[in-house]
Amino acid sequence: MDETGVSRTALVEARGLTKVFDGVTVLRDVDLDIYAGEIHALVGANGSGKSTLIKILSGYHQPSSGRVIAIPRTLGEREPTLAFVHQDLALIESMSVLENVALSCGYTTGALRRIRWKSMREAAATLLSEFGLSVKATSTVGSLGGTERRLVAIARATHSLGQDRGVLVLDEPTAALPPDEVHRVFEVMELVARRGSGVLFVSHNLAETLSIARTVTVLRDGRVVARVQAADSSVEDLAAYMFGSGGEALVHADEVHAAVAALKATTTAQKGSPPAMRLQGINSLRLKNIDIDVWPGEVLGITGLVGCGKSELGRVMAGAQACTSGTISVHGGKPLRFTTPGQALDSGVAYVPPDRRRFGGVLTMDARENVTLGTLSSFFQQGRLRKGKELKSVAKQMVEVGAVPRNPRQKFAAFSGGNQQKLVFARVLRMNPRVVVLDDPTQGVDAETIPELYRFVREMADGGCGVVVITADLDELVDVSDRVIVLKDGEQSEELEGEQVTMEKVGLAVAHGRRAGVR
Amino acid sequence: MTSDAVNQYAEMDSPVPDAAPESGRPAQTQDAGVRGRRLAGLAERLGVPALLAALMIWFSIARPHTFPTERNLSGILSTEYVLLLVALGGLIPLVCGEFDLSIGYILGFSSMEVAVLSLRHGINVWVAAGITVLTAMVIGVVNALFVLRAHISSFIATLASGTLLSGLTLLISKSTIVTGTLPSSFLNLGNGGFGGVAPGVFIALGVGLILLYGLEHTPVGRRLEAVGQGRDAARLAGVGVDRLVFLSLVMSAGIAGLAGVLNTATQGSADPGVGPSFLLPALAASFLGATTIRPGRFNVVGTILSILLLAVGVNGLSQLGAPQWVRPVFDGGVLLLAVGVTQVRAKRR
Repeated sequence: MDETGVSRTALVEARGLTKVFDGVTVLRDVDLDIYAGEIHALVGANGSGKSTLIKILSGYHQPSSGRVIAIPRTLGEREPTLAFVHQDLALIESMSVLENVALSCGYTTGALRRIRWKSMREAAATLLSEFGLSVKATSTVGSLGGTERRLVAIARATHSLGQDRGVLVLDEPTAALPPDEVHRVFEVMELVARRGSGVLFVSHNLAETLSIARTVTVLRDGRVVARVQAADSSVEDLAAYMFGSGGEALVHADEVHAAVAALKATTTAQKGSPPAMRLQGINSLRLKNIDIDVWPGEVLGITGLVGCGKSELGRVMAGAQACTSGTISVHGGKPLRFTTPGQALDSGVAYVPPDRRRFGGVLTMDARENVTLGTLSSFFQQGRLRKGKELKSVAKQMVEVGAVPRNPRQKFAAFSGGNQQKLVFARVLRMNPRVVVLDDPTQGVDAETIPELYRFVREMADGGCGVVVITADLDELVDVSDRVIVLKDGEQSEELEGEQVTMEKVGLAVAHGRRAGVR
Repeated sequence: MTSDAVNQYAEMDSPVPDAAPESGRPAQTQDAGVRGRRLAGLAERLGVPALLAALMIWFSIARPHTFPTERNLSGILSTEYVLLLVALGGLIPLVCGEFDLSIGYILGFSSMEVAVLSLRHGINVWVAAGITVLTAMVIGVVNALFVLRAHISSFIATLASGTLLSGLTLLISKSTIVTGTLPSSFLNLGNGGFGGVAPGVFIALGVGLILLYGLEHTPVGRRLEAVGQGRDAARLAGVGVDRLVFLSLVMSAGIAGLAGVLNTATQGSADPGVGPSFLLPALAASFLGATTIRPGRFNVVGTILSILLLAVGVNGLSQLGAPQWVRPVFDGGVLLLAVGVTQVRAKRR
């Protein structure tokens, strides 16, 4: 027992974990103890080895040296088990919550292995209510919202530990959740810890990490560079550990903030010229009567609560979703109704989609193939695809956008989140678009890369592009946008510009979503 | 992007370790690691051709008088080129993530169509051949419409259309083998020829060359691959997915039609039962081909080598006295082995 009364029983000990991939050491002599009843956070920049460490714990990778020891608490007891909730929740959308839980926890069966649905339904209902979920066990996962899904996945993983105490490992449990729902996940994590299990979680959000974790382990370049008590630490401390004290690396959230905001002052929207994109009377599944002009040289932020239709608006702009009425004209061109992304691109609208692993890049193809996918014809000369030229050109661009490792032949899937996004940006830059639509461009991107990405955004605007940034992250939105449009229930509810684009005003507009004109 | 900006980004190096020196390992070890990886990759890429060479050497030593003869080798090519053609046709939809299970039935139907048109209706055999290939492409269009407009998965749509076609084959043939005197110029397509190699073999290899060019050296081929590897991402990157799927299904059907015509030329008659037996070996060769040359991607050279491997294996084994049941066992065994080894290797990586 220590001074706070938490029992210091290690459930799992990792000792001297080292992992070498193709001659590159990605994890170096890492020790990690997970204690019963403790919430332990793992932080580090992209590529610092967090994912590798988790994958070794889960048995997906074998360590090159070192080992993981699960410690039986008393003689005769079973070894504590580990349960994982990865970023991909591994839920089957078309199956019910109950069936999804049964997938990993097994079925209760009676005579002749008949499934005892009734008792299973009751058990699942108990589980769900314990985790503060008001969803029915029989509803399909596809009908649930993002937060519910995540809670179901966490409940299932906890349930799979059984009656014993175990270790629950969560990879980015709050990523992509609306800020006002994060606390629900935290409450569940605390519940699991109170019951005597250990919780290990990975996060990019340092402020969140400090508010929930007890112990924080910081990885940098595959090494543990710090292990601190959250109570004695600050966001600045953690960032300093993560990125080192080197002057050029951006050290903490405030600087990220400042770096992005500093970009804003330099540009002015060119309202005299024809709009880069004009939406007129757009109606679709969720959108109602959207009229928006995007001016060349401006960054237009679009936000709103979950379900307000902001992502749908992005898809409509990019031709990825059909609208039922209305037109889009690009750069003073003919008003059109896009039916395919290809058509939107031909008009000059490029799109950076939200779910990078599914929509952003082709995971099994290499960086080169992904970057040139939209502009292949330019390498088709004298009747052949000039692959040497293509390779050189991509290698050069990877230096320009700072994508590492600088290997154009590496598979897209093998790049970290931030670097994948740089490759997607590289592809968009090659298309010389008049309008760029970015939906949630910094999801799963480390803090250090975010200003880099927004610098590209600002540069595209400076180059005469109209840029649309869609995000629920108000900090980022306020930092990057010259003008903000707030959506509510598919309608434009408010528009803020210039001096009005402040955290308070945008936050208020999102929260109330009240209908008001431009003032 | 301005050149100033380029420099800025070049300086903004992120601290992700791409630098070898600070890893504390001797550089040599890393080189050895990289070299070892390249060697393993090379071994994987050359698995099928190496096995083919090994079999040819083995059979040449075991049956020096009957295996490594011009007659035998050209015979192997001349008996397998129809299968090769069907496999090449079926390969195109596989590249973009679709199945065409109707290719075997299209072959059977086309084989019958050219025979019926020319022998029962007295149409010039070359005109009949042209009509037949066009008909096959129309079947491909129908397949594509079911897939793209009715949103039926290509697996089901082509299974259904193929089954339906096998009935039409029986209908137009009146359920009998259609035979008669076809012009010798037509029959020569599938028999004899330069050095005992039938002209059909060169047609098949020519189609292979065209596909090799189209798939690996043009933007269309690259886009087709992108559709197969990540359809949603490809669509959002501006790739015209539907057009490519349409193209692939029409081409596979057209090539299967050509294979049907050549099959009639080789056999001198049309059997309503021919066709379905080509489907599975053709697909198997494409899958086997995807483990070699460009592992993980369906590819033309790999498919051709796989057909050769299976043909040589069966020819040699039968010369060694293996009974008839050995062929499918050999085909299936090689496929399982090759794909299995590739998957296990991919998992370890």
